[in-house]
Amino acid sequence: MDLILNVTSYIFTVFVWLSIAYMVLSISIYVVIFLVSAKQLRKSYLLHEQQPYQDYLTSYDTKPLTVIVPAYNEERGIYNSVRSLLSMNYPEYEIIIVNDGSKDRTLPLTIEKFSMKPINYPVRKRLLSKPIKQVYQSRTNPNVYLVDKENGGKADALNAGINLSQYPYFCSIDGDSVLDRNAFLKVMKPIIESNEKVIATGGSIRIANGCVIKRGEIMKIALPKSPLVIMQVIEYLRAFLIGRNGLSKFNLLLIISGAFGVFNKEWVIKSGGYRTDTVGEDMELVVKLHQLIKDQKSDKKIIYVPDPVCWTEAPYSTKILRRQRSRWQRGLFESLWNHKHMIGNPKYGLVGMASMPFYLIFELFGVIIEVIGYFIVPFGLLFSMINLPIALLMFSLSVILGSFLSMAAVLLEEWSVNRYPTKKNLIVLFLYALTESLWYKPMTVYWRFEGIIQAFQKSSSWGEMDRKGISE
Amino acid sequence: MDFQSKVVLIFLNVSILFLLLLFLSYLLIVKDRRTKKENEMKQINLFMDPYVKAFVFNGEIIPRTLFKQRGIYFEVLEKQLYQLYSYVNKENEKDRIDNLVQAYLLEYYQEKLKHRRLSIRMNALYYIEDFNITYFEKELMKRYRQNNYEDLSEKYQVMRVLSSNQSYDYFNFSVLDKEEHPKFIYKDMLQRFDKSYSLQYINFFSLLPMNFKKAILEWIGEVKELSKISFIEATLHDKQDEIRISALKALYHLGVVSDVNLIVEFSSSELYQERVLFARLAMIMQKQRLKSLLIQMVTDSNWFVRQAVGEAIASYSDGNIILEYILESHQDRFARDLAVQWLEVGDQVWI
Repeated sequence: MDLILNVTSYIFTVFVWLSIAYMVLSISIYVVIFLVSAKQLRKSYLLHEQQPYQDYLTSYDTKPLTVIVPAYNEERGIYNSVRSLLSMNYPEYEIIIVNDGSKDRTLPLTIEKFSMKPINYPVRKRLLSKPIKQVYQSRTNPNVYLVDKENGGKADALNAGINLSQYPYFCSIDGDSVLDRNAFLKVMKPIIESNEKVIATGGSIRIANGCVIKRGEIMKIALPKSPLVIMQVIEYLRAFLIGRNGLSKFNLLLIISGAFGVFNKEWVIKSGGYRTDTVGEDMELVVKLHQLIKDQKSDKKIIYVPDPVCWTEAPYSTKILRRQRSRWQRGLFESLWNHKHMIGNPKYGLVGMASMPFYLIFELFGVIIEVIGYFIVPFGLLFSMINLPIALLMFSLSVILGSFLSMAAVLLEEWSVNRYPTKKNLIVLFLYALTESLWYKPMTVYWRFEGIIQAFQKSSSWGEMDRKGISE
Repeated sequence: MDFQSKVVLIFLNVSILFLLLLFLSYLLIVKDRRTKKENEMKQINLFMDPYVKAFVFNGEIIPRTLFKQRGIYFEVLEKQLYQLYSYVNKENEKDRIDNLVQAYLLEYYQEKLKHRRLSIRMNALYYIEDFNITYFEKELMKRYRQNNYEDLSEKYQVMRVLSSNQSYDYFNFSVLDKEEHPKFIYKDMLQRFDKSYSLQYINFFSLLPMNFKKAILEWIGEVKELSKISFIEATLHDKQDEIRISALKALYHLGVVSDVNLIVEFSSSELYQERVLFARLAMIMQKQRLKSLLIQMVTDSNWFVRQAVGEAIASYSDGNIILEYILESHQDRFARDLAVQWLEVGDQVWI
């Protein structure tokens, strides 16, 4: 009996110190990324809104763009979303709405609202996708097309859109997103200025819940009332302003959000397009592009644009949020698993040696460590296998990793991007961030843990996304 | 864990929290000040607006006491003048705006140009260009020559300002500058210099970096400088692909080729971009000889070429008849698809 107790106690001790080491390492890395990101963001604080992009509005070198809007049951948001796209400041672009076998009124509504006529358009099948039933073109806006195809998922819809696109760059956006008027100019600027060395740019995504949106345009930026959505606002600030911005500085970005990103079409086609057998097709594509860049010994880059350019609807309920978070975690797992040969492989440079191990250890395994921590600490305390000071140490480290870093992200937003207009907004975000470690983090960590289990069970379900619609 | 460790732990957490609270307080104060400043700017704007407009439109003298030598007054004046600059038409009104800029904003921009934050320096450069201030030419030349740029966008903006200012020093320097920049910035320069300056680069064409050469060729086409058509045509047989492609693009924009024979060979070029541009030129020139070459090209292996060929054939007066004939009798499936598309939809191709 003593032996069993001793072994259990030893295992507890080892796990506790491993967790502490993990958290200290994790905090150190995030602090470094935070500092890099803060320096980067502050550089463009208060930069003129229009001037940096004026030349590109009339330049022959501004590449035309195809905007692909995959739509599955998007009847609530599709019209406003496309209408807002029609008033973008960009010299030349086409919009391809891909109706991915919607069961609601997405198809008839789009046909009616945009006065679509069926056209005989030979589609160049460079990427595999489910059969296309019909292609339509708008009579009122000839640069708007509608593809009606069999259901195949978001990745499949994007591949169909790429096949139909006629321009060298494409932009993928969600059916219920609202873009800043200059969003295309902002994300294309690094591509033009780098002489097309940049092959993909990711825009910053913000949560639109609580904002006033009219006719597909943001009229007033404000915070939502629901604590669950406020926590997501904070989470997005942390993910985009600290994580992605910091990683992008070293060409280590592994995710460009599916809600808004621009890609060089030929590179995407060369990489095989969007993979349809994963739920994390956005991360999967970026990892494939990194792999292709390294395999071809190219100096191409994938970067992130920190300006908030895309506003999207966040889940209101725990039920939907739970699905979304477990799906994201599954996507992360699948991408890392599909490209396991890149992890720690010097051939893939910093992506293989730093970025992928970072995602593996801190984004994937981190969840497992945290979940075990949430169970083991109370259990260890109860059976005197962990003493109180150690438990306090673990708790305080998790507060630093959760709440304090999120509070820092809120402050970074105010210091550099400054989109929330009132002092009240800042205080509310700051105080909510303080509570993150107490309720929101354990909850999402558990859902992400479920995602890992589902990945092992090979679940490929997306789940329904119940949208209220964000635009009036 | 001993007592000392506990103290360190508590100290660590409390310090972080304290620092965050301190930073929050600082940001709240900054936010508060910013709101106050915005309100003050609105007041100053209301107060200054009639004086500034009276001076710009009627030449009425502005009392010197109007500007209280505070940055905020100059910031308001900058915004007012920027707005006015965009809609005044008369030369004397523009001159009066220039006078105000020269009298009140030079020192303001001098300070901004030395600011340690990139965005402030960039904003100053944008306004210096918009107000066409030449006062900073020497300083900007010095800046252009330095190599330690925090961000290349600043260097590019300096290049834009100097070329807008018609800086002869910069023109001379740029001819000999071996550093290669992206094509877009060379084009921005060429568009900003007076045409007489920009066209002089042609004399130094062989000395210039590749991107600069491409920019010159394409710019000539974009501004439709027909007098340089022989120069463009002379580069059509350059050894370098990129130069030939830029020359073809320029001819496409010019819409003229002095001799059709000069472009015929591009219909069977190994480079698909050259074949696409041939088709585009054939579309503009509307020559029977080119049309027969286009008909041969409908089976081209490259999709972009077939699209451009379809567009070109459809543009001829008998284009629809040709496309219908292709649809009914051509052996090649891609050619038939092409005919359907151009008969029904009509579209552009982009390379």
